[in-house]
Amino acid sequence: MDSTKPLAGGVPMVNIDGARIRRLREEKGLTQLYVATVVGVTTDTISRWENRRYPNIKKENALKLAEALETQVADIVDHGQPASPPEPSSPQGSEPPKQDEPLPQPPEPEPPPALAPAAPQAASLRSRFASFPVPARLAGFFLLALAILAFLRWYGPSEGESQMAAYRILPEHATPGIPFPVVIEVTTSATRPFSLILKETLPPDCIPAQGRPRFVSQASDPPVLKWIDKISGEQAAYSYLATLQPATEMETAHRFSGGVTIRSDDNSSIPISGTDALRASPFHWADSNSDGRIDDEELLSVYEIYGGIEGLQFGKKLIEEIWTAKGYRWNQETRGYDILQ
Amino acid sequence: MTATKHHFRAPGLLFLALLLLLPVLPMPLQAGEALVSGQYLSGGGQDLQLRITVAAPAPSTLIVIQNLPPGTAIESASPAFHQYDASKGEGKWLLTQVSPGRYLLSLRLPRPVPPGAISGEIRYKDPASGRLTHLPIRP
Repeated sequence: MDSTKPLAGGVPMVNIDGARIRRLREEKGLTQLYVATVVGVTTDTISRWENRRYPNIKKENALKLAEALETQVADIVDHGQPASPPEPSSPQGSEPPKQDEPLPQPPEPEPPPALAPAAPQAASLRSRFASFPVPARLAGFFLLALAILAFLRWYGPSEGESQMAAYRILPEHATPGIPFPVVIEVTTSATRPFSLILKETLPPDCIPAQGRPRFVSQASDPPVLKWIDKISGEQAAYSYLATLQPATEMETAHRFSGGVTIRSDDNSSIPISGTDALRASPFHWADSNSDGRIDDEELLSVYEIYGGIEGLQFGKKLIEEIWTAKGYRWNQETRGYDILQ
Repeated sequence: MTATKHHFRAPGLLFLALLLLLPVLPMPLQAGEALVSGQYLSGGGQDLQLRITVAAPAPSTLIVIQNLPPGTAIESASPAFHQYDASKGEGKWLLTQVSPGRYLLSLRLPRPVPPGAISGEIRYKDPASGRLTHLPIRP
């Protein structure tokens, strides 16, 4: 049976196997938050898919879901199910999760299939347990406590993943129209590789450009950049270039924010610390003390921070030109720097 | 970020031995002394050669400043100066993507200069402290 069915509007739909999706997700230790972020839907949607409340989803979402689960689409498709009512287009379509959305609650547990016989069964168990001798009961409690401890140790947040920090390095100021670099350093003491999603929200009047490694541009107003990566070392750096819109008023402040979601069982999400604001200024971003020249220390700082990022074109030529000159001045008419020889 | 809890159980004897050895252990070298060094192989005449030695962990970038008598003209420099002010006799090399090893900088002048008339300086950011380091060099 073909599991792909086009809707009336021509959108291909796929019948998914919710139980299998849940099993795959849990086997790989992925949270609903992680999967939701990769697919670009809310955790409620993932919960609905897993509980088969919307067994028909868009093929595009099925592809993303398979990618998040590190598997093939064929593995999550329910080949034996008849066609079901299509997935509503809102709110669980391809709508990205809101930036400041609070961490979602886990899905409500399914009610037990039959509540009525539960009480007599529990009473029977209690009376059977009471008939055991005291040492056997104590041993039972001890084994139960051990099982709980083992469960907590196995499923609790791993040491490495909980010891993670993300730090943003951003110039204090930048001239509208002139690109400036941003670096986000993620450090961890994890001993084994793990996946993460890094999300960076730029000010609305900021245009992102080149990313190293490449980012997935998720939204444009405000611009949101996303990286999905696997960290295997102690440190990873994510960098990009950004430009304030040329019409941006000087001396205005512009805020950056972001966070890192870790692929683990505890829905960990940590904010990016470090510099989070940039001021629009007629001074070049590398001229950190805004004295109209780039001195040796400023040049060395720029190369120490950004020089090692392969492929990041942060304007070395202009910086060296200013460094070798007596100074520079912003020219509002030409929207460029006049180099003073 | 969660702080790591280290369970360090050093035996008391080892701790005592370390305490006794502390005064005779070498003090850490000052920044610049071990990481980067410079030496004139030829520090006078028409041909000047400056050898820079960089140890690990290497600073990523070095600025090497060459001071000559004011008004000195340059016939050639290898690598080329990034900046040369003939009136001050000051030239600057910018070495980027530096890795541990040796680097040779050479200069040819139209007229010989006495060894006492030249000097150099290496500037770099110490990778550990981030501090700007000035390392003077004399022939």
